[in-house]
Amino acid sequence: MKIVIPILILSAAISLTSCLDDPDCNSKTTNFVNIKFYNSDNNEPDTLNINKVTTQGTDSVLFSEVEASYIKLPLRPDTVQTTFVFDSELGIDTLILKYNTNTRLVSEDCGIEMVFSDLDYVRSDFGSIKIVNKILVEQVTEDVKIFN
Amino acid sequence: MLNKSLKMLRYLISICLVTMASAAFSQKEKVQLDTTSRRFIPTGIRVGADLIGFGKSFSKVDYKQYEFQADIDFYRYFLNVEYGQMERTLENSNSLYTVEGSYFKVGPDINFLHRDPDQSALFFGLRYATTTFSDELNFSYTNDVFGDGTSQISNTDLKADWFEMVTGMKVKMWKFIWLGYTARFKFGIDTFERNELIPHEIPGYGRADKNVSWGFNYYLIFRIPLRKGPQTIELPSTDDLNK
Repeated sequence: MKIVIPILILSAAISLTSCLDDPDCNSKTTNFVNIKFYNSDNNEPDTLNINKVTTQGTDSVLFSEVEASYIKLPLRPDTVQTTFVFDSELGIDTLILKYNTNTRLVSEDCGIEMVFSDLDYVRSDFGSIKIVNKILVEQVTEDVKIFN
Repeated sequence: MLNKSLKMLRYLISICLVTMASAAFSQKEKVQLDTTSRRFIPTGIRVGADLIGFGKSFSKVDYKQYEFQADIDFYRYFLNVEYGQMERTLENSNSLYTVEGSYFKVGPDINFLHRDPDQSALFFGLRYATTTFSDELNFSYTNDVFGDGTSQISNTDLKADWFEMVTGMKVKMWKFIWLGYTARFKFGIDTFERNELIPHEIPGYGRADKNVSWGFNYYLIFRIPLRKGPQTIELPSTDDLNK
């Protein structure tokens, strides 16, 4: 029976640990996509003179009268596709991004968390575009590269 | 937190009870006669119900879990089957999550106390587990740009499987009534990260966002004998020998 005691202690420890794994509420996900502009000739960071950026589904203007090297655009949570219209020094350009939304209940205390994943583009009027990050999280500062 | 401590205390006390019971029963020096001819023929079936699941189901309104296990012995090996059902609702101010499903586990144990005359068991084993479950999430969200909204998403008849390493004891208390516990280390599950609704809980497994999970069951067991176990003889105690 000598072996019983250590195994009992082990089992007690096992059942203890199972009580200590409540999740923390720090959700790191976001619905904002970070877009950076590059010069297509030398692949160096570039700025873009933007008159305004609008999106379908709302009348609000996301950006107006800015010279930006990068912008942060919100994705719609109720669909899997968001259309942006850029009015800039290059003319009117449309950018349509598609993605998946994955929602989970983190816990009763923390509520839900929505993950935007599989980011890709459906249409882009810019010179060229490259998706560099497919899952949107707050720590990542660059998701899409646009070359002009 | 207090609630959890109480739960822990309950587990620990019941573990102590099982230990004391097994210690008391092992005081008589009985030794099994070596019988090789029929030793792989089962001596009995044990059927048990998980008291923790039943306890939670009675004490919580939004929680139902019923779990049963059965095993049959082949010499020092057991074949186990386990079946359970669970239904649970989680709720907060802007979301409502429900999950329901059933699960089935099967696997062998090896018994380290196979010479025990009462046929008590201290076992280590493996399980293959599988579940079919459905869940649903209703939630509302706030969004500064596109406005607030509500959504309802669900999974229907998702299938998941995983493996478990288990260890525990089964001890005879009185005639055909036994008590036992099983501690489980669960691993090898798909966490469904790509679903529109990522499950919060997987019946029989636990929190779905964990790649490994721990579990604990405490069983009330009834043993149905199929045949007489191996014969035992009682050894004379040292007092008897000194006379």
